[in-house]
Amino acid sequence: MERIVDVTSARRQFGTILDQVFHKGSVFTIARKGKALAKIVPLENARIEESESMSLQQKELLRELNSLPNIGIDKDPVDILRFIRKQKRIKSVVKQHEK
Amino acid sequence: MRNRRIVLDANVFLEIIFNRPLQNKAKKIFEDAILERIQIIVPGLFLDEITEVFCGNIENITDVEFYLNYIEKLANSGVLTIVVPNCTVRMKAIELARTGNKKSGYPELTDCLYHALAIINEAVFITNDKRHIAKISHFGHIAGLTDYETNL
Repeated sequence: MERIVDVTSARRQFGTILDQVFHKGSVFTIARKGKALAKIVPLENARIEESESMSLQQKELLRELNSLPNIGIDKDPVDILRFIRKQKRIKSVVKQHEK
Repeated sequence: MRNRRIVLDANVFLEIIFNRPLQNKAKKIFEDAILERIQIIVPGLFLDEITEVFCGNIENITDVEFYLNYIEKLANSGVLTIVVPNCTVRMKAIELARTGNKKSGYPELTDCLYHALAIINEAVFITNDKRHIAKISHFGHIAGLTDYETNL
């Protein structure tokens, strides 16, 4: 069910509106002076709409992102990178001292 | 509409590959970028660092190629913007790297290059390195991977 409510009513009944959107799947259009400004829709509807508007390239990138092979290692990548970065700095400092 | 800019540390991408506890947070960032909710910027060294970590930690060369190809696809499709830091960014990085003290330690220049890129581009640097955040959070434009979506 889709309803139009003005800003003042929406502000006063915000909790009730949210309940109806969440539990009954209602859709509310918020209007000011008769002009529609925003819409409150169930999250699932928004997701479906988003998915329908996705390009093929976006779908492909998302599919690949979720199917990237995982490699379990004992080391924390943060520590690995920290080690690499630290080594680079030590070298530069040593060079400075050697001059 | 892309309304937020994020500079991503290499350790965020590695969180996904190495099956780490925050991989879902890391994936969410890439999902948001693919869906054009955010814009990801990385310095060129992002790829160099990832390649270096793969070189030393992943034996299967086919997997390595798969990951690198995926990053390239992200870049080619505009999801990932790879930039060469300019002089302004580098000078800011040096400024950041020179803060700190002997006791708490100095931030690494590489961390600072990412962070400076975020500061100069009015973006937020997202890293999983809590030590760097602790050393340099007073400069702003920085958030932990754990805080993605909650504090941003």
